[in-house]
Amino acid sequence: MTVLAAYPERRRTWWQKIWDARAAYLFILPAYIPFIVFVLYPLINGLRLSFYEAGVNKAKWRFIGFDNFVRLFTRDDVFIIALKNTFLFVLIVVPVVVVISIFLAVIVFPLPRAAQSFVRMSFYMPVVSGGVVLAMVWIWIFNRDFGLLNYLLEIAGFYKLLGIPKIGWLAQTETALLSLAMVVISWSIGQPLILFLAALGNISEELYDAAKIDGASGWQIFWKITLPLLRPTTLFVLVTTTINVFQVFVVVLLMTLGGPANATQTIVYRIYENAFVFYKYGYGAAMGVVLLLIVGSIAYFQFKLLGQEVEY
Amino acid sequence: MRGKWLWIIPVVGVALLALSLFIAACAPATPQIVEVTKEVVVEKEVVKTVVVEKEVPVLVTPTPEVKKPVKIELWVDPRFDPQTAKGHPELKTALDYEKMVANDYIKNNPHVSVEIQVLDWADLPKKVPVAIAGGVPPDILRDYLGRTSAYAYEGVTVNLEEVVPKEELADFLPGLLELYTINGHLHGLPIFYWVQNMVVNAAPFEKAGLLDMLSLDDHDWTFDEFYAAAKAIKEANVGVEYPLVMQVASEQGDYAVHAFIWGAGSNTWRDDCQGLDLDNPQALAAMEFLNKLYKEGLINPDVTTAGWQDVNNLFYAGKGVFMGGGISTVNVSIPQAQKEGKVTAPMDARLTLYPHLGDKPSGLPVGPTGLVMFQKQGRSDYELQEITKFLIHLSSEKWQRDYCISSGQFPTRYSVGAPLAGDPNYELTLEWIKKYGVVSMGLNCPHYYEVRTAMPAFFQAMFLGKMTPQEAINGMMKASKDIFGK
Repeated sequence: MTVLAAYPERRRTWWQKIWDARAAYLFILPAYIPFIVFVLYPLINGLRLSFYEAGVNKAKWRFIGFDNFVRLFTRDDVFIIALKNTFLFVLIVVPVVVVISIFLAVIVFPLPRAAQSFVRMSFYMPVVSGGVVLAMVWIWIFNRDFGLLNYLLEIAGFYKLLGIPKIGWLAQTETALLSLAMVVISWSIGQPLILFLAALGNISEELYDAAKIDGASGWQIFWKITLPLLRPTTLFVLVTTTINVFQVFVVVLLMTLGGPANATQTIVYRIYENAFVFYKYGYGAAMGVVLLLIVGSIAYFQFKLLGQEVEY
Repeated sequence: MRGKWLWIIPVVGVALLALSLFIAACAPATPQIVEVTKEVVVEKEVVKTVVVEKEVPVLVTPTPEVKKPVKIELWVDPRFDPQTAKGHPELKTALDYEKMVANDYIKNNPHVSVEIQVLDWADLPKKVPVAIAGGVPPDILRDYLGRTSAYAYEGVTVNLEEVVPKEELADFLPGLLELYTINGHLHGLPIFYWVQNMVVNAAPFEKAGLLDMLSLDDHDWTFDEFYAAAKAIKEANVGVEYPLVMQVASEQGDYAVHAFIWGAGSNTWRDDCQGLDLDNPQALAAMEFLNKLYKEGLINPDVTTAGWQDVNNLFYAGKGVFMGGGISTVNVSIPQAQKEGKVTAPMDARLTLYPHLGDKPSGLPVGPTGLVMFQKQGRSDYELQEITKFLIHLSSEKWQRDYCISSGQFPTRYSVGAPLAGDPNYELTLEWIKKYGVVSMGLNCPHYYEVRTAMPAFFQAMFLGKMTPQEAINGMMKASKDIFGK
């Protein structure tokens, strides 16, 4: 004790701590510079901007406190519609993506390596193809008169059976959002599928062998072993997919422009319209802040609920 | 040894020559007496050549004034793409056209260099505001009034009445200068404008023996007559499925929908520009009429999501016979589509007027394009003058004539006259403007673009049966009031 007392730990300042670890900081600097320039600075500036009435002329920018936020929730009917649509979109797309990708991964995992690679490639192709190309293809698929979907449904006798006219998938309020959801689902499965396949490969075979010896059924094995052990990956997929789907934009811009009758208006599309069509940067930034708070809160609760027993 | 130094002789010779040239160049200008001929009138109609004495400076004097170089940044829309515009088959791209116009100025003003960017239609409304906000706008922008007016309201444009000479402005049509005057200042120079009406494909009517129903003699027809013609051609089994083809998916080309509102006798915008003016029985009648056409299958069913290309395709395929358009549609776009094999039905495209409810057709919508100069920090008076001169060149009589011929537009200067005189569609349109005037599209109103963008959703809701025509009008009025903060 006396020895320890003779050499009390020096109280180091934060700057000294950084200086001591300067080699490590230098290593991460190349990654942090673009982060600061392209993420952190715009984020802080966006927060600041949300309290301003800001158009293209910087000289006329005016601090207005919370006015933009008040207007969003009291006078902007379209924003409220966009908010509802975005939540609905997330509620449709995220569970479908997670469930389908787990389901596919479990089916594909036992297949021979070549077959597994083929499935991976097939589902990953839309991820690398780019949203614009896919949106263009889907516009054609959904076309009321010349589209592939209606052509197939007509051949299958769907319209005759139900006695209804051909559906304009993107032209009707009842089907437009679902059609966009279908497009987003089609290109959102690739990445989770690869992650789940990798995660399945990390589950020890011994666990399955033991369960089989104990007489567990296939369903029990999946429910009691596979699914719990996929939990870290599921959490990751859930959080990243939720964030991505909240930011749905390209399909709206290219396929519906938020219509018909605002049925596919989403928050990010509304941000885009206000900032880049109406030149209301401050108001657009306020919408961005609302989106940040929503996504941040949901991700936080997802971590709270699902992340308790996860080991990273 | 002696031969070793012989090289010095040519070197000294060249040096002496250079020195003599230098001395000559720096010498003061001494007047010389030279003989020149001059014609003088001695008596009426008698011309005699006499020799006079005149002082002229020597040629070696560096007389031409060396001007400070000026670099001008010009951003333009892609309107003059030689592939679709007329008159310059030797050019390949829209940039080539703009370079041609700029070089015509530079050849007499070598101190000026022009950096040109041709922005596509989708980039124009995005790139320009971002550049302004970033403090790096172009010096001159050529764009549609509906967009440039928004920049004027933001106070980022140069007041042109302060820099463009009055005698120059006197040559412009005053009505158009008035459209470009926002908050008391001229924010742009109009250089041409389109006039829109309706295009009808008369071929199916002729085939069905229904040509008389089109009122092509005086182009004056009522909603009922239009409805009867549309219904008759659909039922005539000549391949016409949706007589009126249009789109309300976006605000682009919305005049084709608003034309029915004007035809019914209502304005779209209030006279004081402070919002929409649709809360009246005339506007309601127009909405009800459009709704009736849609419900009876006389409008294309994908009206809520179709793009302009889809609308054109329906027209080219003969499925539709009425669509919005102007001189350039009939003179440029349709012939071009025919050349490209896109027109698959018999085509006899003619201009006509939109139908009306009152005693006469409504005025015609007019959409001017203009040149706007942006304010820039650090720009000297000299640079401002030079940019103004180039701006005047771009709007000059010579080039306005070319713009009009190239893309079927109307000139904004008196001095240009009628570049398309002799063209029956041009003559017809001019006659209509004289007879019925023009309508206000609200292009120079505050929040024009925002209000305009809010409107399609209500048309869509009405067509899809989610709103009644009255509810759609109420919705548009509320949106307009919200945008204006009322």
